[in-house]
Amino acid sequence: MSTPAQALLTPAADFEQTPQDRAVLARLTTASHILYVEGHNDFNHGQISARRGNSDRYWIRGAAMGFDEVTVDSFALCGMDGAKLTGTVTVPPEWPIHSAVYGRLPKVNAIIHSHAPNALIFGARHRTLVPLSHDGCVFHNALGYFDLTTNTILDLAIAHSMADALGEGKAILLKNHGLVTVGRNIREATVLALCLEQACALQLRAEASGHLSGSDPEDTTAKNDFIFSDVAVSTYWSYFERKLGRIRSGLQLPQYRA
Amino acid sequence: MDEISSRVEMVISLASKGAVGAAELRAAKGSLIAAGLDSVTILAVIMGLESEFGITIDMNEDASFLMSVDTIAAFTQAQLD
Repeated sequence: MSTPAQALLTPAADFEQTPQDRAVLARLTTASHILYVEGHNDFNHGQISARRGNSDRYWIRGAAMGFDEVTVDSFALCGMDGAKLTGTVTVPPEWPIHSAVYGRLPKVNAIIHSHAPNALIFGARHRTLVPLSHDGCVFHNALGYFDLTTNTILDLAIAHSMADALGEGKAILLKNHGLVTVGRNIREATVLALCLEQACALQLRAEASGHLSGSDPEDTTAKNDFIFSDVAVSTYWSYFERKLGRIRSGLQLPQYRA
Repeated sequence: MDEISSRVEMVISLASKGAVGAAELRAAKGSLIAAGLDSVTILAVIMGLESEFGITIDMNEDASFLMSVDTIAAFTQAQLD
């Protein structure tokens, strides 16, 4: 008979990954490495997850590991109640963030939560993200703010409050905590996370310079339609994937990001 | 037409911004190329399929399923099984 701890660590015997599961886990692994390279890592880690098909189950990266350490074996399949259905890793304690969002937004298929530094600093105070750069435009009228707590989100009631603040948006800043982006697929959620961190970094710089001016609403809408079309997001993902490949093979040094 | 095929047609229509709808696809016997989709729009179709069905499509693998509505629907069904 196994102990409760062993049960947590042992995958269900009757679960067999499908080719689609393997494709999802490979992409989640790539996305994790891209997030690391693009400055989303910290020692408290955050999470990445993806819904399994159109179901109410999702793959989530295990607790207590960096985005850089992820392999295809670093994920647990999780139910909406946070129970682990398979996988050899521990479900991260912030699973309620993911369950609350997947539970109410059926079109969301991927979620990223990170403690990216610029988003964290920017989000320490509630203010408008100005569409200063292309990156900022995608969050026009689509960025929520959550300040009920600055602590780790460990229960569903608080996570549902966060989901209330997210609404139908693409992302939310958590006060003194970090960011959450939601996407219809893994590529979109990842690109949104990179865009939000970049947009926050640029606005912090602009505020420091004393010059802060954004695109007008007409341009912002036009940019959303063209620069953030599905095709464009697909090409951005491909660029980051190629860049990661060059870094992995030693052909390119990772850039310094602060 | 089954539910998945209908959803595939919807994805194609959205990806082509309405230029290629169900009527155009049926006139082209389901063929994406014959219906007038170009390579850029097919990229949008791939993103749309991932979003609609919550699946991941590896573009480094065989992409021959992108020939027609029927082949896409069969591929998608296989991913969901």
